[in-house]
Amino acid sequence: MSLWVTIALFLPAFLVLELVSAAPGRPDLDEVMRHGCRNFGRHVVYLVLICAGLHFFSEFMVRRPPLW
Amino acid sequence: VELQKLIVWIGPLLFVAGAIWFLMVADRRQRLPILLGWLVPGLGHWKIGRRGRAAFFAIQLIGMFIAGLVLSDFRCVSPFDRHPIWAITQIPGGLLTLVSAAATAGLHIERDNALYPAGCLYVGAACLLNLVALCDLYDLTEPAEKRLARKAS
Repeated sequence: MSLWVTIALFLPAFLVLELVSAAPGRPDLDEVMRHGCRNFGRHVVYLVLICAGLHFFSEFMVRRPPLW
Repeated sequence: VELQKLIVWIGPLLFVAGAIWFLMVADRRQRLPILLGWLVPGLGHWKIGRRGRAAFFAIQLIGMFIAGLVLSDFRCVSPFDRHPIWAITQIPGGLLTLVSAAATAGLHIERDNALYPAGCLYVGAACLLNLVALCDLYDLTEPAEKRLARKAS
């Protein structure tokens, strides 16, 4: 699976995660949506960086010769 | 394998302990909405009259659950036979998990699907996020006097 497919797969789940986790403690649904979307915009950079990091690390681990 | 067996036993026990703790601390009026919310995401919110919030949770969580099923060829919900670790995350899914498990019990993994882990992740995340929806429901249904007493203590 390519890096872009991995990121594209994680993005919708991440948006749902941000929206749902913004709900507790906020009675107004508009505020929940606003806060969730803002958090998604802020944290998506970290998601992409972590996805890229894990992707390249797993590629490195697969390609290197086994130790024993 | 031993660690996996240990987690398989401890995971459901933690959920049961959480449910018992909830029954001890919850108000009588909170129990039915929370039970409905566990069975179907959003149903508890619907019961207390928060229709918009019910749709908000139902569309996202049920949609994510179905997306996970589609990604995994409808084979990722199989409590305690194919992958018990994922099954623990699916416990908060309530009826979604039970119905999916019953409906897909006869299916077998016959081809290599690269999206299978992503499907497991989607379904597991949707079920665990239902716990967040239940916390929101608990918060909304908590009587004002009880909340004040809790904050004061």
